Amino acid sequence: MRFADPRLQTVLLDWRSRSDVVERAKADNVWFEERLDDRRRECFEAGAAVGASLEHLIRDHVGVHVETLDVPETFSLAHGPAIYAALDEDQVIVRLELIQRALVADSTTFEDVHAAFERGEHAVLDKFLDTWNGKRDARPAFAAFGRELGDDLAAADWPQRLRDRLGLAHYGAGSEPVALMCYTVREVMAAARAAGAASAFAVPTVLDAPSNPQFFPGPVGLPCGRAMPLQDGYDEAHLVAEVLHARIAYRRNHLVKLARMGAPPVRGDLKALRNHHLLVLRIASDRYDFGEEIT
Amino acid sequence: MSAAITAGPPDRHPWIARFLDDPQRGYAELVAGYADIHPYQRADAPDAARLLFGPLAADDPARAALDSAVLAWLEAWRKAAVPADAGPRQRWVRQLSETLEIVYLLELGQTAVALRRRRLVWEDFCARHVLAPSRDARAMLWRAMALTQGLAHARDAGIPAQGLQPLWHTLCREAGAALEHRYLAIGLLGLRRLPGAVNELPWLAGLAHWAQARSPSTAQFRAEWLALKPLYPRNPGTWRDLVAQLLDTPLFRGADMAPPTWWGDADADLKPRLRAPGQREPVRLRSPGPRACEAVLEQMSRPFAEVRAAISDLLQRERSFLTSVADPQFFVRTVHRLGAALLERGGDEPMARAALAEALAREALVWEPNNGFLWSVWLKALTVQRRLVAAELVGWEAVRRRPDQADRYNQLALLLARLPQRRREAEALLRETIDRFPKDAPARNQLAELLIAEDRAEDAMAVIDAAFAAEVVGEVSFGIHARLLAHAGQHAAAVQVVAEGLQRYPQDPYLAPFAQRLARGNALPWVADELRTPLDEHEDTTASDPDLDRAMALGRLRRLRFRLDHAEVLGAGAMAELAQAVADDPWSSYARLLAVRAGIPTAVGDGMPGFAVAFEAALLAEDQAALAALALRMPRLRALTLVAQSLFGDAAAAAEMTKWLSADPPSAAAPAERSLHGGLRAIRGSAQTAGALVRDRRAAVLRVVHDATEATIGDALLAA
Repeated sequence: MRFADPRLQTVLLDWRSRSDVVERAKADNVWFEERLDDRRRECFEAGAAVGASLEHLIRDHVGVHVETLDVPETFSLAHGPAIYAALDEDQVIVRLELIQRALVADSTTFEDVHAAFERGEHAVLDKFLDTWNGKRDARPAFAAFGRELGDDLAAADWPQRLRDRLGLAHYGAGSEPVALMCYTVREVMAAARAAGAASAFAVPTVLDAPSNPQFFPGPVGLPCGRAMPLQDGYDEAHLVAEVLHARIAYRRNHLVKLARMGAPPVRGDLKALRNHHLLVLRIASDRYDFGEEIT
Repeated sequence: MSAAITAGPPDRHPWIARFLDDPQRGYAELVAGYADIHPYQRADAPDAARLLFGPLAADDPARAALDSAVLAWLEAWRKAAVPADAGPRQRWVRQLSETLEIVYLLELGQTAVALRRRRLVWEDFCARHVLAPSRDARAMLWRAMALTQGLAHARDAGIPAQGLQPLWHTLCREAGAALEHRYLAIGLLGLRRLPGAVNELPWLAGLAHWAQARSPSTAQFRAEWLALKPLYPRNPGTWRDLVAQLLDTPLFRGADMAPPTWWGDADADLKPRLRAPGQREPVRLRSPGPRACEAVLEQMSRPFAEVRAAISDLLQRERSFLTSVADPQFFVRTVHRLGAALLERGGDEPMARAALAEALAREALVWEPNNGFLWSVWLKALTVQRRLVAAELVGWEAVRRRPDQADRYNQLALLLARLPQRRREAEALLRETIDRFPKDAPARNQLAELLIAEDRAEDAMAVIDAAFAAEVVGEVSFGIHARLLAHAGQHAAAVQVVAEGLQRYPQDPYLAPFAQRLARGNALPWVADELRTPLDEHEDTTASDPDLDRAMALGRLRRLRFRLDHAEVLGAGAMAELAQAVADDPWSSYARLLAVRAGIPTAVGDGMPGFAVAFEAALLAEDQAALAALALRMPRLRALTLVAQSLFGDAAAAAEMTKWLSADPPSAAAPAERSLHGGLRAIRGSAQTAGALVRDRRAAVLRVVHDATEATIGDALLAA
């Protein structure tokens, strides 16, 4: 992405020149971004205060225009380079969720909810989901398609596998309780329509979430974004389509599995991870001019 | 920051060291999402805080630093200008909500104590920031208090372990009415986490109060009950006994509810079953009852140590019932009787008796915060202890809370009348009370007594003459009239008035001795006993406390309003005092409300001011559109906007107001609506319609509207 405002462009170039790999990665994400609609970029530039760091400006923009609106900016457009207007509505969407905050808010333990899940105690689960839904705002949700994750979903260590493959570096480890939520494209579209959103699914861009070096924008040659796993050494077949979708209120039938996260990830060096991911993206999209390695 | 990440989340993230360099700045960056906390950038602040600080040892300095930083951040946020635009305001509230969430997620004891200690301040603040279920600072505050009530008590023994129980029951009762249904979960959460609870009765009571107030369908009740029951694996018989105990109490029995009512419909386990031979019936839960109270009252003349022990024993039993069932009527009644006896029946150690009466009144006020009798006991107890500044301000706060009760004004006026330098204020207050409550004889009598004490017999006679002309008199009025006549040398007339009084009130204990004195040719007493000896204030050595401070702060502002209203009599210094009050605490809703009313610009910007301030501004500007918008924003206070619209000549609103005024206020009416209703009825006189009332008594109606606006201050059930 290139800014129209030369001052912002200068700030971006300065950011990219930083030797710190984390900073460079976050700046690269802006630089590599190809799908952001011009209207959204213009909105960002119009609200960007002079003198602030680009990372803070993105944080502020996301905080105001994406995370806190009833209809996030992400889904305010019916068409655009990042919008998925047509998807088979029977496809299953999966999302790995941290649930510790909802458990504490409900003064319920993981064991309580897990036992209720096993025994089919619907009232307990419904109340837990009520509390959880009450805490969730309308920000876009990162998710993947179930069919791409079949083996991982079936594995005993599914939380770790999903975390690692979807690049959820911020999900922690050990006793961290997680839930696997599954629902259909149709349900998401219905929820988005009811909320007044112009669209329900989008490719993640740099203005949809705070800057994150684990995020990697997808080239326009690919039909969607591709999550960057926590370990390198994978090939194109391992890439998972990464989408954002509009808020859906969780219901009991969406809760498919509960577990504790378990072993921590063996994370690779960020520079190596990103360079490898870039290589795989280039191969997958046949776009060898896309992006730039960190040297 | 290095990009090389070791396996797994580090136990001590490198950001912690930078945080410790400047914790306040570090926390502000964390909650704003600016902190350099790779790989947790994408996590929300509560998850990030949990992942960063959670693994640290309990005594790690970083945890204590986080606690202090969070508290400082909250204090600063409370005083910060709120963004006016919707998007930034949403984000602003989100940061506030997430910070409150961090308090309970990481069990920040210092902040938990501070929130509890100044609960009303925080409730007032957070109630202005309720935007949506996921952006609801008030809900998050209450959830934080529910989840840290044990922690706060453990950290500060001065915080009562079960001090929030009335709040939780209020949330349960009002869920689905004054509050959205989702607040039921918070009310029940608070009761489930109530420190010191010995069984499940507190939250079962919460559920029962909700069901009684809202009449849920079987399916609705079942959803709530079965969401909690499996979390407490008890025998069905245990549940049946607990429910039977609860529903056998007068509150539910009185509502013709035979156990197991809702439970029986919702859960087969709770349906009545045969009891095994020899199986004991559950213990009946009962308040000790009026006889037990009578027994203690009979001991009041004994040494205070014995009295205190007897009261302690009685109240222990009252509290046991109260905390199990959450039906405060018996506790409040007992406290009122004991408090009055401690203050009025004499005995040794009067100061200690008064201090005990004060403590009891305050404990009961937690359950019934607008109970005028309890405020009366508190004021009197402070007066006996010669803590007169506190007594006066508590009296003003009682007036603010119950502007529809003439006794609150009269009692305060008596205190002021006993302070010789404050008698001008006492007179102004009594004249205002007579104007507010034309049918209240005590206010007229008290004014006459004050004027007699000031040696203004002619003025006193004018007051009494007016009272008799309006036929607003009682036995005391006859006595005062006789004294005035006798003092003026009109002996025969005095004899006749006493005779008339005795004819109407043959049992009055004062009129008969008056008749005997007059028959013997003796003078009647002149200045009333209680006004003869001025009060002298002792140095108040009692440690201040947040609840008293809060009551005094509100009372001080209510007094300021009185002084502003009577500037022509009491001098113009009130405006300067108000300007100072706003400068001292520009975040006070009450001070800002008064400033708006007085036309003083306030310094604090506010994206969406609290209802009271916004309403006052609309009222001042006679802005009909703004009033209509406020009615939509706060449907529970629609009556307030209705009266305001009637004042501005809206005939349709006046017609609706007439109907509203003719009926009793709904049982779920907010205190502000009740005060509006009571205040308007008191001044209605012969006005048949609201239109006539607002035309004939415009100033008085406006004053009652101001009362109601001020009664919204601190009502946490009214979110902005």
